[in-house]
Amino acid sequence: MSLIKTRVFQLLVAVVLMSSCKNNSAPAIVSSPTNQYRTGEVVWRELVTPDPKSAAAFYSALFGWSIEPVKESTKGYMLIRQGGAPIGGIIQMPASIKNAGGEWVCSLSVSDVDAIVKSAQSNGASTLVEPMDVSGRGRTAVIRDPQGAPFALIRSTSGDPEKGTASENAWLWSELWSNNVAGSLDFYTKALGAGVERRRDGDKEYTLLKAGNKEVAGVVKNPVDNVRSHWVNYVRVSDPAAMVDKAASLGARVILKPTASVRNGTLGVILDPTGAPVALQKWPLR
Amino acid sequence: MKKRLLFGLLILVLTVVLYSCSHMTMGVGLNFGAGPYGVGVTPSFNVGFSGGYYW
Repeated sequence: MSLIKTRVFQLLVAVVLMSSCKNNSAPAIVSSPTNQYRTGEVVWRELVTPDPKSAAAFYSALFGWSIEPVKESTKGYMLIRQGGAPIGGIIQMPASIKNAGGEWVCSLSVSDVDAIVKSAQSNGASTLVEPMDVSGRGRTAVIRDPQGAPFALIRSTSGDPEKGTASENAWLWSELWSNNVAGSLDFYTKALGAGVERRRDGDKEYTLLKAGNKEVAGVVKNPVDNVRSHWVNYVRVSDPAAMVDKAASLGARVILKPTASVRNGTLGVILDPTGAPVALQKWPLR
Repeated sequence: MKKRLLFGLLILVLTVVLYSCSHMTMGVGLNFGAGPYGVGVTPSFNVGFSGGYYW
């Protein structure tokens, strides 16, 4: 009898501990449920960085974002808000990765994470994080496209953020800088069902990924030498030159100062103090 | 007997806690490798890059 009591007690302890130590939780990507989905669009962005504290201080000072650690997180997840609304997160990169720079990973809204992961794998992608349910957030996965650019998939339990016109210092756009544009377009059309549209303005061409008639991202030849393909996320600013200078004073490295030969001086590109690229774009362009 | 029970309980608790908490991620990306730019490197940017005028 005593042994049975002991076993029952052990079982109870196990159940209590397992329920209190919740697996895979993260804040929702919306303040309140929208129950609307923007399938195929970038709806969330997370900075994976070796130094979340420095990154948080930088982005707070540069854009005025409110960045706070999530109390429930044992691994230091930080939630980024702008105007009270969640706009992204900051994640600690494993300490085992040495001398690594950070990277913003964008999440595409999809209706079936598992199906897209399978489709991506069959079209040459590798899986960095297998599909999993994240309590409070939804089902997610992270994959690396065949050209090496990582991105995430999400099916949010509470819906996607409503799309509005980007305000100053808010996310404006996402762009894939690919070392093999044809290969990238082939992948995103086959694996995710994206549409492609090429637009031309004089000698300048721009390729768009589309979801139905919605423009969801751009794809350009990677303008940076000896750097793998990656997604670059754009923040809307009113004065790119001033913001580049401000970013530099806060510890960023400038890889493109606004110049007339690149989008009429409306674009600056920086690496934040932890090495993650961010584009500062004046909008509208003209 | 009591010692054996306590020891068994300790092992059980540790096993459950370590297993449960080892899967905490707080979001995606922890299995993600290094970013594209190394620390301390300022890469060269091709100023011929025009991007596009359209969104």
